[in-house]
Amino acid sequence: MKRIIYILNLLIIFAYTSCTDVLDKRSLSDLSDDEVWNDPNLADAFMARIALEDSPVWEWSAKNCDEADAGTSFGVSYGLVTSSNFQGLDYWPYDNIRSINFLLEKLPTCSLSEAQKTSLNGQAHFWRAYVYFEMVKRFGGVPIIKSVQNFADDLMVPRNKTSECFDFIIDELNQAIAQLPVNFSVDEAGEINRAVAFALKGRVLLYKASPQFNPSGSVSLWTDAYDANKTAYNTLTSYGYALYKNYGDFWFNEMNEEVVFVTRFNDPERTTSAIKTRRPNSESTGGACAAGGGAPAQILVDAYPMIDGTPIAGNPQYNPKKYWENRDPRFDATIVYNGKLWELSGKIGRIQWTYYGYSPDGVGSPFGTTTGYYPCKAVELAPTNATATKGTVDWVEIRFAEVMMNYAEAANETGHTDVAYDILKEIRKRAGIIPGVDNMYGLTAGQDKTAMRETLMNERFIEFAYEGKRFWDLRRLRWLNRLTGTRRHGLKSTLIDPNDISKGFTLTDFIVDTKQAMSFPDNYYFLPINKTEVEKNPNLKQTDGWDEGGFDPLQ
Amino acid sequence: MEDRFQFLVTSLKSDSFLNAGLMRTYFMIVALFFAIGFNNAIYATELQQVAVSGTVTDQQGAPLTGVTIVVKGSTLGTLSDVSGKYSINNVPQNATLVFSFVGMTTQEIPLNGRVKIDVKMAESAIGLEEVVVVGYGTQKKVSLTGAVSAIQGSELQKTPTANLSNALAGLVPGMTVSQNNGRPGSTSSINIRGVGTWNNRDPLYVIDGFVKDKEAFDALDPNDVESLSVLKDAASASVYGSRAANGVLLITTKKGKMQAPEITYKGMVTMESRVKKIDNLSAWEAATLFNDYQRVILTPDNSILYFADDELQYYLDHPDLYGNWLEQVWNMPVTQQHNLSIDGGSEKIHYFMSAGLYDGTGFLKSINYKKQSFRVNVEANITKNLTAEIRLDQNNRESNQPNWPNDNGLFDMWNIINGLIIRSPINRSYIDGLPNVIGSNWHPIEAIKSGSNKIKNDDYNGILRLTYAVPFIKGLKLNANYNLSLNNKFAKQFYQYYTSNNFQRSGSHNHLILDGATLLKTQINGVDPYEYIQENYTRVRTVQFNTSILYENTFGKNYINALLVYEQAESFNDAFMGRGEQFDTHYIEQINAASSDPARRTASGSASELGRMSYIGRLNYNYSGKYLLEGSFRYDGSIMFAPQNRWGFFPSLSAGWRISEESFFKDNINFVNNLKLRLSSGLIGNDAVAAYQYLQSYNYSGVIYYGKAYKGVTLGTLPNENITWEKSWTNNIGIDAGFLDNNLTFSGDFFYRHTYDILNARVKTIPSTFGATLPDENYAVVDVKGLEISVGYKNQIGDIRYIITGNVGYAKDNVVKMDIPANSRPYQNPIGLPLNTIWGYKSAGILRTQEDLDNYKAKVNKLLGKIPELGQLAFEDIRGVTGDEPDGIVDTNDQQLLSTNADPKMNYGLNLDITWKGFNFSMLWQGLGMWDIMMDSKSRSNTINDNITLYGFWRDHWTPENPNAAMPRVGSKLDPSSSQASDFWLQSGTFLRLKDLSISYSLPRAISEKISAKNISFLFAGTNLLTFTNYKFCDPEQRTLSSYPTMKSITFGLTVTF
Repeated sequence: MKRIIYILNLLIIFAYTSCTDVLDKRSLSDLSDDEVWNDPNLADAFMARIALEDSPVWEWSAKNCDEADAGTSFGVSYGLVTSSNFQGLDYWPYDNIRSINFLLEKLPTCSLSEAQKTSLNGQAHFWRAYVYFEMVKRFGGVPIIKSVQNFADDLMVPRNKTSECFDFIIDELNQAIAQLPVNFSVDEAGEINRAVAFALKGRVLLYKASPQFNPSGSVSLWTDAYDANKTAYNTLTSYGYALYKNYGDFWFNEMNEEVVFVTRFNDPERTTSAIKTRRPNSESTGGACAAGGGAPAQILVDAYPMIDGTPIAGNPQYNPKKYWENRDPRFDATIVYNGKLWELSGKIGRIQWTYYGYSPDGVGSPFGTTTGYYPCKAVELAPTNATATKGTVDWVEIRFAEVMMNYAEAANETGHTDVAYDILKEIRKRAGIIPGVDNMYGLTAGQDKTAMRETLMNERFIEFAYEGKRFWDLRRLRWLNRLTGTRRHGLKSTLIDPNDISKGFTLTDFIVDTKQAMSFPDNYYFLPINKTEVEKNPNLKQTDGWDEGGFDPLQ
Repeated sequence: MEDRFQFLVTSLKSDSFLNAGLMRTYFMIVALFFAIGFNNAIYATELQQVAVSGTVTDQQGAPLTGVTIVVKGSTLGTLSDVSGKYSINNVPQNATLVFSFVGMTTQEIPLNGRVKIDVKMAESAIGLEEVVVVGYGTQKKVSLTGAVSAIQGSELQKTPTANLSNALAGLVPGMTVSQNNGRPGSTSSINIRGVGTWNNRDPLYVIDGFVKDKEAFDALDPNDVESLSVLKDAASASVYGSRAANGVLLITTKKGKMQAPEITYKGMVTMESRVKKIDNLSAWEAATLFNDYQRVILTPDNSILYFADDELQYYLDHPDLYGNWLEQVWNMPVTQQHNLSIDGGSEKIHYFMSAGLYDGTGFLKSINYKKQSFRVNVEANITKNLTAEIRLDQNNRESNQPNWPNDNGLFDMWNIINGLIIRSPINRSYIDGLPNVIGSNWHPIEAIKSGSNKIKNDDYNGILRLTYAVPFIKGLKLNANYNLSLNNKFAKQFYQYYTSNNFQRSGSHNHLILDGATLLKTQINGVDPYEYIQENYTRVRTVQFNTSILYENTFGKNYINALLVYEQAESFNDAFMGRGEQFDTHYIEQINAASSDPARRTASGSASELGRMSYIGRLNYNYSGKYLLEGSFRYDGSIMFAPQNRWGFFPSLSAGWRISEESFFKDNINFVNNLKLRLSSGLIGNDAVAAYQYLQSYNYSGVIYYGKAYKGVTLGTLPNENITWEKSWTNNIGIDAGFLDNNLTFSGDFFYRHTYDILNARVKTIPSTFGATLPDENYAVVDVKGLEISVGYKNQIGDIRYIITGNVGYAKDNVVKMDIPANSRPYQNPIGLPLNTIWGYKSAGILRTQEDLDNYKAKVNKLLGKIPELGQLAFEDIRGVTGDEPDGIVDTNDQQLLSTNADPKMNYGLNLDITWKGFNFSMLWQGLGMWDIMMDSKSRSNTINDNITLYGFWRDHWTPENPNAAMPRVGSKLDPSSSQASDFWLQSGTFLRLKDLSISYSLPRAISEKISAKNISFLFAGTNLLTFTNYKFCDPEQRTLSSYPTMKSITFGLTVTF
């Protein structure tokens, strides 16, 4: 009896004495402030996560203009962008900016080596420039937030002027150039280095000088662009950057000398399902290219010159029935047509049929191509329909060819047409175009600034097809309205004898945009701020031309 | 004995109680049973041989069946048979017999040498002695001042169910129980008194005095439940403090009665079928629909995409070849349940033991759910003043289903069911026994067959309870409770590819695939890049302890009951995951057989822990049973919040006045036997948000690749040092009344709950330029008002006794304060509306004729980005981007509030119970009211191609020849409006259903005695047999058309008691 009371007391005492432990707990899976900012690896990991969030990924803007069919759900090319439905164009990465600001504020006080601090500083300034530029190119001026905000701060920030944003971006890139190393070790290949910052600065100043931001054509802006791009071209050349020998193999020989700004993919660390959406339904899963849009439009197909560099229009060498013969080799590296050998999924001798009624890839089939073509640029052959979702091809946001073309464009606008010619020849030479007796690679000699501008833009169209450049280039030049009212076309191949493929096909041009023509209203040159943001913040004025407007992006 | 006991306590004190101590504890139990046997042996030697018999009747002289007759102070006893007769042998001459029966006053009759005793049982004044389980104790029902509903376990055991939550529908006013789906082992969601917060809405589950999760509640064998109480107001729930704002469910498991061991076997077999079968198109209908679609998209008339006449004719002539895919795999679900229990005890020891088995299959052969459970509840009077009790239970649950990755492992399986339902029947599933698909489309039947998804749960739970009545102070008791529970959960998913085939087609447009068709291609299908096996293992160990001091005494007319409790709880959670990809063989379903490439093998793990500490106090006082007063508090500390905001104080006060006890009432009003007024008010909390939000943390996640993988670190949620719990201030007014000798009872409650400091992130007011992941803040306010009424009537006509009870609950919530964007338009204002509402477009009808179209186009030139066309579903244009005037464009600005009944506001139940001799008939009707359902987006889809067709209700769709159709034209490419949320798809989900029906019959004693059984009874039961609703598309409780269907069932059962 006594013993039992003793036990009972013990139990109660046990309970009371253990009280303090019960509430003494911590999160077992998170890191603390001290741990992150005093450990070189964890500080690097913080930077790695910023790069992971901010790095450009495979994009699909081909559907936004004349490059490819829009599919069923992409309304950019039909004038359907609104402040509450961006059709995929919205971009507002202030959460990433907060992380960058946080890092920049922590660096001065933490106990890392000076070398590491400098490198992290440079990368942080680069990424801040990159994400701000991506916003400015869409919206014009946006709020510049350079420090970590607290609840007590005035959070109702207004938009800064577009010019202030450009100044900020350039300043950030100058700091990055000063602090970034020229190159990283092999183990870190693909991290932001000084060359990337030079190249981006060239691109930023090219945009700033372009009619979108410079409708009056201020010469000094073009001069700035010319200087920056020339510096980028020369500096990168001195670092060893150059055109890769083979246009078609560029994507499959990763980290070659032409790769400047890259997001790397590898299985299993970081994969992309973008490849899947470029493949035909028979070698992909669920919908694929055609159902989601993205099949090459006829205007792109026709933009490729012949092998000698001359345009196809009125060209005696051009055979409309065998339109793929004797074309610029870049055609073959980008476009898949009816009957082309395309050895997907490792299938030797596989022919890609896209003729009318061919199930499931052909025109008219529910999951078939909507234009009669497929894109094959950067599409790996080896993956099967299942592993196509784990694409490993690196996304190259800036390759040296772009640095060159940016330089050529700024040169042309500042009267250095000769530079433009030189660069175009280099680009075409690498593409595999025959130099011809005049060694002009099919280029017309003696073009003036305006004609050369058209030539450069067509070259960009085909050189960078399916690389997410076309829509932004047209917009930058305020050329989108050229497409308004036009419709995308495709090419339908129909079996002459339904039971005998060897009898061949009849080819007919057909309209892809059957229901409505393309439409790019003038307000597309500066996008609206998302309506939910304008609703939250009375100081954030909407872009002129959208809803109630109030912000002039041209200031 | 005492030595063994100390041994047990010592092992309990160590953390490794279950690991090391469980076996010892089982030995301990075995030892206790030896003691039982020993005690019985002693009684056997003391007995003198007298046989006693007699008849038990009610006041009207009708025989009473099933009355318990026990020899006082022994385990000797019996039950009266259908004619009211009983007999007991071996009764001591000086013994006293105890007669007891539910609802009747217990009688004790000394033998005084007699051998024949006839007894007339009197009905007890209703509920006067009825005891209700409340938090940390029990209370007499008459002296309750809070809003508490009590259910006896027997009510839950009438019909078969795998889960307790499913058995609760319709039984408690103010408790909304909705069944999630009809999968074996699936549960119901429970909500008490409406929705007051957008955080955790689940009530708190307390089993045998310890807080458990819903999973543990659902894992309980319903046959083990003695009683269940629902604490609805602050007065009753505030003793559970920071977690009780959504009400509390208290469950008490059975303990042994003082009687000779009684062994009961109960077995049931259940067969199920769908409450409502989904309407599907035939092959001919699907082909015709597809042709109509091609015409709408202007496909040229001569196109081979159209189904040709000979092909359509073939479908008409061969309906048997083109069945719906779901019906091809449908398998009648069958469930069996068995339960064996032993219940008995002497003065020193009572025990209840049970073992249960549940085994149910689903509509596919590969779906099943198994549960096995064991329970031992033993109570021993160790000394005169010390009682010890041990409750041990263990269960394992195993669930199997196909592994289809697009179902994300959910029980609901909507993706695969959707795949089976809307697969166009023009595709034959198999040609000459080989799986057939169009192109590389997936084959749902083959997908079901490949791979598996297994979830195994093992729960161990042990409770030790010591109660010590302090000898020198009358009414003072000390109590200590210790609970340790362990949950192990193992999930294993095996995903594998399957092969499918393409065949040569025939028919004039190449649509038919005939038997014997040439095989064109065999391909491997898979949605995930690699075949894989993924295994997840989690282990949760929870240790809870409480100790209390109780003082209960009466001084003249003053009754006092005071309680003080200290409580603490800790839980430790560990998780491990492993995955292997790429299999060369399917024969070994183990990670072991995966590729040895390190890139194809991954492992990860995590851990977390929680702690709570609380002090609880309660004081009850009543004066001569007329004036009732209760005050209680809980002081709660939780690691969820910063140390300075950690502790919360939750008080409550309540009072009752039993008017019927006043002499002025008693003397003047005869037909009212009982009348009580109740008032209560108090504060309760809710802390179910993410822990540690007060600390700046960094998450270690994300990988970037630069020729080598680099791990990422990122900022966690922005810290909020001030975060603390949500608070609900709840007020309740209740009335209880009894009329006509308490045969008619009434109970009504009105409540008002004001929930404030509701935690949410202010994402709508903080501009996202701030950039941080916002923490939860104590900010919003929501009010809920409602009432509950329950009425009961019981009476007797000759041999027939019947009881009718009905209940109805109503609750309405409205938002008082929440974050609203500074510039938002007035029509978007959520204040004054319920938390959950249904938004969408207001339909302007189908544009049936050119005239309709012209009229509509005169007002609207763009409908969701496109020019309106014939046959489309049109929407009203009510406002523009900036103004509240129509702007000729229908877009998201034209969405409006369509219904405030997104959650059912009303619940009701009606129960009828009739007993006649050995027969019992009972019926439970149940329903939810004031409820609107917006059909889900998947079911609204009008996407069509030659592989996917639409639901049967699209049969009557618009074409130029059928302008008056019920549905718009088909094809999503052209008509996005018909798949948008609009009032076209909004229907009332209100329903009334015959939830349970049961008929049981007990064999006359004379027959059952032939196999020495005390009772043998047969059961026929049905669930969901009848449903009345206006909801057309599917059963209203089924989440979507392609969810696992709600089932109805028929059960046959047998119960034998020895």
